Amino acid sequence: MPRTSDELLEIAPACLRVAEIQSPHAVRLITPQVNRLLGYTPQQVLSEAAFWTDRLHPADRAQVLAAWADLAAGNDVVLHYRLRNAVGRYTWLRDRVRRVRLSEGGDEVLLGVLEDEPERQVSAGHAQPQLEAELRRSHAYNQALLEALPDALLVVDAAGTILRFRPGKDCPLATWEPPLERRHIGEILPPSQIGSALQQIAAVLAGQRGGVFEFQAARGEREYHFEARLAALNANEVLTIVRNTTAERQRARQLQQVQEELAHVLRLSTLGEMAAGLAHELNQPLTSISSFARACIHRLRAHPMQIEKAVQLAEQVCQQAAHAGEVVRRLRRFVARREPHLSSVCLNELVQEALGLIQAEVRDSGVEVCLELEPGLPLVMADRIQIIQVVLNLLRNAVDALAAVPLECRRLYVQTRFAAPSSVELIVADSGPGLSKEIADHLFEPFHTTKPEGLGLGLAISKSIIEAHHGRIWTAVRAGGGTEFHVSLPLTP
Amino acid sequence: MQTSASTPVVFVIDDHATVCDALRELVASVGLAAQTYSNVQEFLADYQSDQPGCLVLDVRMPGTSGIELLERLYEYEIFLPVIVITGHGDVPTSVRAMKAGALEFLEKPFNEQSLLDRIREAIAWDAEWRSQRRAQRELEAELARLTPREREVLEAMLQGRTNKSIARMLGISRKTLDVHRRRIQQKLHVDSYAELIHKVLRSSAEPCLPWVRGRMASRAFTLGRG
Repeated sequence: MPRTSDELLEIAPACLRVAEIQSPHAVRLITPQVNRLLGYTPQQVLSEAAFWTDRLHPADRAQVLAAWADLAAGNDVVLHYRLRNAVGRYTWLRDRVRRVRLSEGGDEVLLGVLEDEPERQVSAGHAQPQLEAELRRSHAYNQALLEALPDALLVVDAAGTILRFRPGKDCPLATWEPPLERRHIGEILPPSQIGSALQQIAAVLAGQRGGVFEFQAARGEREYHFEARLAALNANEVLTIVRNTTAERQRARQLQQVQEELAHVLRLSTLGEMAAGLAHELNQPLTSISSFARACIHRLRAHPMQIEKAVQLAEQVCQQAAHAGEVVRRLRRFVARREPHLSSVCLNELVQEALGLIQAEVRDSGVEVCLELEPGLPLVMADRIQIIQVVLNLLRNAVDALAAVPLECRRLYVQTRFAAPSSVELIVADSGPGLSKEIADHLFEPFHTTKPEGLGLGLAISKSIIEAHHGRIWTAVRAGGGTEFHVSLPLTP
Repeated sequence: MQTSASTPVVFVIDDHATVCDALRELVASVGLAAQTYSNVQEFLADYQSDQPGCLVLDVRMPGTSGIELLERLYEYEIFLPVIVITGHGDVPTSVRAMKAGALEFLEKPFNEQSLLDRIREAIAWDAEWRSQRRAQRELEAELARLTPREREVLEAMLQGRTNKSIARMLGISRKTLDVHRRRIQQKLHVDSYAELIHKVLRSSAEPCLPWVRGRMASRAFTLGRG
């Protein structure tokens, strides 16, 4: 139990200041809390006769002195004024002043209860009343913004300690136990990501802008995804906005699944449309196989000792069987139901694979293919089958368009190239009649089709596939007539 | 492959190189000569019309298609019997091929034995047709050596007139008529009146082979349309 008034003063939450009524600018006593408010020690305050009034903001000085002088016994007055603090800037203070007698029979003194007014601190010291109001409004606005913000705000130091934490209303971090303040980020992050998080913090502190990183954290059964955006507050504090992206990711994953299903269904339907051509494609090796085999039998019957020729024919049979097998495998790969996955692929190879699937159709429609594949194309991260599907779709559209022009004008141009610095490009062009404006305008929208048996989904799904790869697909009018489709894929999506 | 003009050759036109190879081996395995081409133009540039044999033709090829060649063979005066092979045997194409005088329409993958049977059949037809053509040409040459008077006598004989009526019609004596008839028999290398009539009638008949008839029909149709 504190027994003296001095003790009482020292443990009070606010800073107390005592001055004589006759010379109110001379402070007789000040509690150590002044240090928190203004950065001065009590000894500093007491060492100068007019310490307080000397540091009053010139604009506030007259008002404060008048209020002190006019104070009647037993009355309270609340003053708002600015005082220069230990680092030379002005701090807004709220000073509730009253005349009191500290001890029985003692003189009356002025007792001020001082608190800082953080909501006023923004004012730089020379603020005009109008500007002040403006700042207050802006501050209130920021305050409301922070209240409404669904994201959590963390202030983290260079070592990764969370100095301050403000829970966002939608952020599960708010209910994390134990609370995050004063903890290390290592307690939230999975161990594998701590290193990179600290690196990001260091990078932002070193002046890099726009640090973003994603992390996962599990609580019980649930796994959450977060996205953290970093910005330096000062030389060793980083403000981190943590957004809960769990639901977003889930939606994206669902959408991706639906798209993959649709792409698969479309591959099946494409295959159905191409069945005749594919049968033709298989007929060639089968015809060759049966003819080579029959020739082999004839040879062996007629000249059983001439093994060489028979062996040579049997080899041909094997080769053609392998070729037929490759056609079947290509088909199976194309329609296989499987999880999409990214791998390092060469666009040229995918183009060749798509051409392999459409070979019979191209041949039957008398289309001349002009290939210009840039050798040594850099690899891209992509889903093989989906890109083949896009290429095949473009090739088939081109072949269809060419049916409208005479046989000798049917040319299909397929070109790949490295579009420096960071993408590869495919151009599929035809010498067909070109696209009318109304068709071109809706080309990539679903259910727009010019083909009586078409679904109108080919280009729509192609576009979504390419965009899922962070690439672009667009059309252009070909110089010399016809249409060009361009696909650009970034090297790293 | 070394072939003399009289050895029949199986000409294969297919843009699939391995199908060409396979068919050449198949044909060679039964002792027939084969030549393969990957397109119609190569074949047209190479083919001599006196070369006997038959043609195995793929319907769909880049450039001139097999069916187009078939329909225009008469323009190139190529009368080889044709066996059409195709990857997809749709009805309209097969009708078109048969109308244009194809001997057979086979769908890939076909039974090789039936292809070989057809090839042999085609070569036999071709040989027969060629011998007919040869006889006709010989006769034409022989007829060209007749004098105008001898031609008049031959025409009258073919009309079935008696010697008496011919002599009267031409205003010549029976004796002179006999001289003409003997000369005609000598020039046409026949020994009797009956042989003479048989030779002339047989050789001047329309060619009776189905593909040639078909081709004639398609020509007539084309000309009629034009």
